[in-house]
Amino acid sequence: MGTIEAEEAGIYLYISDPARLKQTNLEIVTNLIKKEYDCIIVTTNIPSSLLAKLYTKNEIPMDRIHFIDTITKYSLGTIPALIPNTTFTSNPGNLTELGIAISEALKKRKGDTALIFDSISTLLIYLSSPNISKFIHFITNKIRLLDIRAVYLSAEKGLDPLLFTQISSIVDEIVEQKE
Amino acid sequence: MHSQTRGIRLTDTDTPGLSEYEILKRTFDAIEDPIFYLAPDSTILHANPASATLLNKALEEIIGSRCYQIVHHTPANIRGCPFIKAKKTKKRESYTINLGSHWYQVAIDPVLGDDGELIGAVHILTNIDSIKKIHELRAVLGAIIETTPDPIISETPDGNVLSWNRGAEETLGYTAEEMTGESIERIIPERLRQQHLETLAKIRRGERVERIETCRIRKDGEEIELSLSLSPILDERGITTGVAVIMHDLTEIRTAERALLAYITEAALRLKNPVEIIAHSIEEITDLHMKGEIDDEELHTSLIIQVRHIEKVVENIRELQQSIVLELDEIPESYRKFLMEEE
Repeated sequence: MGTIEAEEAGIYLYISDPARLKQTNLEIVTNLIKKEYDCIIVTTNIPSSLLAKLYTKNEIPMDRIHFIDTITKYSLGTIPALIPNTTFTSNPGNLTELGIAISEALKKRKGDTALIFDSISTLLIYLSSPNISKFIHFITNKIRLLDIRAVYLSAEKGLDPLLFTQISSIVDEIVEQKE
Repeated sequence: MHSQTRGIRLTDTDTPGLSEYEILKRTFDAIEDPIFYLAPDSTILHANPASATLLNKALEEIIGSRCYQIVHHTPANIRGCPFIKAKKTKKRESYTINLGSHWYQVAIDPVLGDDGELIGAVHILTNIDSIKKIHELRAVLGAIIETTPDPIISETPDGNVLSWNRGAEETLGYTAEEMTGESIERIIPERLRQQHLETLAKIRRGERVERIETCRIRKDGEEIELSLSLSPILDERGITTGVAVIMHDLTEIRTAERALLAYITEAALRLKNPVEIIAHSIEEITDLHMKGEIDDEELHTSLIIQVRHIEKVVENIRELQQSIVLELDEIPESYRKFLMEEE
């Protein structure tokens, strides 16, 4: 996690063992919170309610977290009532809705903020590589203009070589998470 | 035989026991090629034993007969008879003839009298079965070379084009006329010219050259991938007089390979990796539930999410199948049917 501890803002691609994705997410968020960052978590696999429970258990202050949950509404057809700091989108494949949700969340930021995208490899179930690549370019440009941090999480071998090359070329650093 | 044959005067010799006539007669009889001596009216005046074997008749039966009767079985000289021509030209005339199951080259040498008038003609028949077979084989090979879609080129040992078949014209865009006599470097990308020179040197040294996969440039400037098989063209002494190059255009194979690679990659992304993530997620969820860290409702929610993922993966695979069926012409019909039935 040394890279995340760096002082300057940066954009990272985290490559994690599929079995450790949730743990990696937790480690990244814990670290950023320690560094006084607010976190916007885009989740495509784990429902935000479950992540919230996980963060709470690990003493992460939930007022510093904003979830963009792309999967709960899509899977259940409804959203849980009274969930603070959470934006639900209808479908992980709806990038327009996701783009708007990220923009809105970024507008509300108060201090140093980091965007954590968990995970690109799961998003590949719903979208083609070229569409994901375009979206990541769009979000990255936005983040650079706002001078904030971003972490794209991906499962190991979860990206095809072309998408990996494209994302590699726009991030500042690639971190390969080993066991 | 006291006449002049091509300026040689036949006279008696001092050969003990045998006259020059006898020597010539025996020589005539010893030659294995059938020989006839014809009078101007096509009557066979002399014939050697090989003639009798050829015509399967006794010499007595042959001598005195007209050539066209006994050889061609016609009432008069055949059309275009070279003997008739030789009577006019007073020079050697020749033609090929099929007798029985054999091919012969017939040479007719006119015999002139002192006044220069034709007094007869020697017909020598040479069996050319082996030559004919070689010619036929060459014709067949030539036809194969000419009709094959693969480019087949021959070059001099230093790389000038000697021949350029239709396949080469179609694949590389240059006509045989444009390429014959030209350096083969014209179709070799600059970066590969040294490699080609080294290959030619190997062939000149008699070394074996393995099939190589390389690139060549078409007339329109497009670079194409080819496999090349190079072999020496040897003369009777075993000296390399040229290089035969058989090319095979790999464009289609490479296209299919790239399509296959794209399919495998896509299938891995759409199936293997997501399933792996789903499997880990389910494992993790059940583990959390067993530890009491998530309740039944959360377990239910999480499992439904994974079910949605699986449904989407199945949908993706179906889409992939559909795109294969609709977009790839190269897939065999049986597989196409299978994929369509699966839809």
